[in-house]
Amino acid sequence: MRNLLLVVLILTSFLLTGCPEKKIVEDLGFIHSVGYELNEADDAEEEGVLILTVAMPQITPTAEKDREVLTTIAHTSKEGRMKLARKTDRALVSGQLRTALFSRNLAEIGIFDTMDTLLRDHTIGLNLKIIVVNGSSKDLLIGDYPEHPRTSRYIFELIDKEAKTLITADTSLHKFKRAFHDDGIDPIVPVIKQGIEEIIVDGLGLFSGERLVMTINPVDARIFMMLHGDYVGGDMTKEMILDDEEKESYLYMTFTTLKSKRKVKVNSPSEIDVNVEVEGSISEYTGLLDLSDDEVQKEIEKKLAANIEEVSERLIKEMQQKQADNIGIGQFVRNSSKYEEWQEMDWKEEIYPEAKINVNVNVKLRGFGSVK
Amino acid sequence: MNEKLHYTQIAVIVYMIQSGVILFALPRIVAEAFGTNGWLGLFPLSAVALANIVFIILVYKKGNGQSVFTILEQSFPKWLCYPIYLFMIVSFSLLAVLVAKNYIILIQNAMFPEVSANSFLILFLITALFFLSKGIYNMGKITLLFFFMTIWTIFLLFLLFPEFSFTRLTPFIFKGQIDPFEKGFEAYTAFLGFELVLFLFPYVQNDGKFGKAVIAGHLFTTFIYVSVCFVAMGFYSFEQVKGILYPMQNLLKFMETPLIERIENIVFVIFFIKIIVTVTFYYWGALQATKRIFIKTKEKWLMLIIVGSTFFSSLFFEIKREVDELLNVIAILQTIFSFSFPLLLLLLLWLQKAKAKRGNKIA
Repeated sequence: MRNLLLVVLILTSFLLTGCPEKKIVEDLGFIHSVGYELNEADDAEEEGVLILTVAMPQITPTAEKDREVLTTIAHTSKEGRMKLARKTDRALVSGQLRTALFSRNLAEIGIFDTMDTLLRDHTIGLNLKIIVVNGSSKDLLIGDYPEHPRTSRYIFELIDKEAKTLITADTSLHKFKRAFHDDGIDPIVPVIKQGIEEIIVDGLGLFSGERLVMTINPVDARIFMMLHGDYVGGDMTKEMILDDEEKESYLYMTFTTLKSKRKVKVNSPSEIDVNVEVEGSISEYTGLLDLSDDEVQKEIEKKLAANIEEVSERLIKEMQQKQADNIGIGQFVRNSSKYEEWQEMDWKEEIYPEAKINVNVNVKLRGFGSVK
Repeated sequence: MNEKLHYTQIAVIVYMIQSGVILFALPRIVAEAFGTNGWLGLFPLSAVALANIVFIILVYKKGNGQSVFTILEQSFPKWLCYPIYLFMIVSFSLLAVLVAKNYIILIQNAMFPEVSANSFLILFLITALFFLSKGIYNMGKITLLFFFMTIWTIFLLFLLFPEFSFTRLTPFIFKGQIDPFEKGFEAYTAFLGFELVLFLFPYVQNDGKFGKAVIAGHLFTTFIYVSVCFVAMGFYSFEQVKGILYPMQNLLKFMETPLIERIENIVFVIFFIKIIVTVTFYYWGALQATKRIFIKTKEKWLMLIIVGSTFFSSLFFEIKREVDELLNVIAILQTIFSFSFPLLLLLLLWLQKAKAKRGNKIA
């Protein structure tokens, strides 16, 4: 008798758990990408300042396109979602949200309010990618890319892959928030733009607090990443004229699988050394010299180091002007000073813009390919 | 031969009762309480709890393993014991139901916002009732089994190593806004639960390892708490961890394994096993005291009445804020109880001994 009661209880609890909140996959619209853009129209104050666009994969078999894109204007993100819901027959859910695209115009005035929604919603994972669009996020999501019918998946994979080659960074919601709250570092995000029939990775966006203040082109991005931390991967092509070179024009050299290690030494809050060790090998050379010659190799190492130092100093100078400490020098200054000193110091606004930051680069050539 | 609880079971029981849902919030609480590197603050808290545990072990040693109720009733008349029993019954059983409700509200908010929390609670309590009805020896065995079912989750912390940074941890110790008393107390409540071993005395194997087992269980809890908070504080930046309600839950949201993307929902459900041990043991504590008052009533009915009545009283507290407020009050009472009760017992034991000595002399 007692066992029977137990069986009945277990059975009912199993069967009844299916009853509340039925969620049938066909009836759900899994938002994969969401785009936020600042509404710059004249009536923005009344209509809403946010242009919200969502993209979700289409599952209706008879539908022509592989995805469904909806867009609206609203005051806040969740209000926009309710407006969007009125345009589709599927229930919008954000559990599968993978990429959040912020238009540059919105990123420049600050994205923290919008970010708050993403963090507050329990269903949204922390590995959501934060991306800045150089242009309009609405146009980018609506745009047709014939070779890549599922735009949101395309963007996701694109960033994932390019972050590995260090042309850009893979910034999750968590990483952004972490850098935002840390008093010694500012967030970085990947930047993409719309091409004619494709989406192109356009380097890195640097934030100061919640505002986008500068962008770095894909060529300099690898050098920025050398200053940012220890990374392996990525290529770099440089124009390089060596002393004994007979050929005079069109001299280029490509370095591959770059391995960089960074050490930050704080002499005083206003004088910091950043030491970078770079290892790489040559994969392309358009000149005539014999690369196996030790002297030539040493010269290349020296010239490349000088070049990296030059670019780094230019980048750091610009960051100092914009009061954006994206390489996290503040963290090291903080950790090397006393707590009270650090609290009193107005690092980002006073000390950092004036600080003397020396970059010392040491390059080592690992090899030069299978050709002598 | 009588069945007794083995000392490894005791250690595991102590750990399983102590660690509960507060683990999800602990990194934030220690950050608010002690500031930067707040995980270090867990050591003094653990030491305070350890001192408390030493009192309890002393009671066991001086009393030769007598039940605490026997010690009490030898010195006091019954009517004086009843208010103490009543206090135990009310505070233990309320704590049990609120711990359960707290966990359920957390799960329900996150995963099933449309389902009523009370229907979950009924299912939870029915399971707890079955657990409780098995008797203390079987409860010990089940707890051991549950321990192995949950302990693997601690290894998930390794998934976070790539994101851990000492630079972020900062070299500052206990700096920033701190609130060591109020928030520190909240962190201390994470260690509560060990006081229930007071009622285990008559059921333990008398091999002298009881004290060591309790301490081992407590140190293991400390180890788990410290490692979770340490990893969390190197994973989040300091201001960030203070802004997240449940940093540990968030940590789980971050984890990705090759097979499962969002691991947190699984771990959440696995935590159920941990919570049910805490809940059932508090009910068991309440039951022991009830049995002393209603000696003739069948245990089965007592259980049903305790669990049923606490369920109905929990209906007055529907949202998280209300539950938290009441839990806080009970936690304060519980802390006072866990310190003062062993001291009272030690005093009584001392008086009894003195009396016995005097009695011997006269004879």
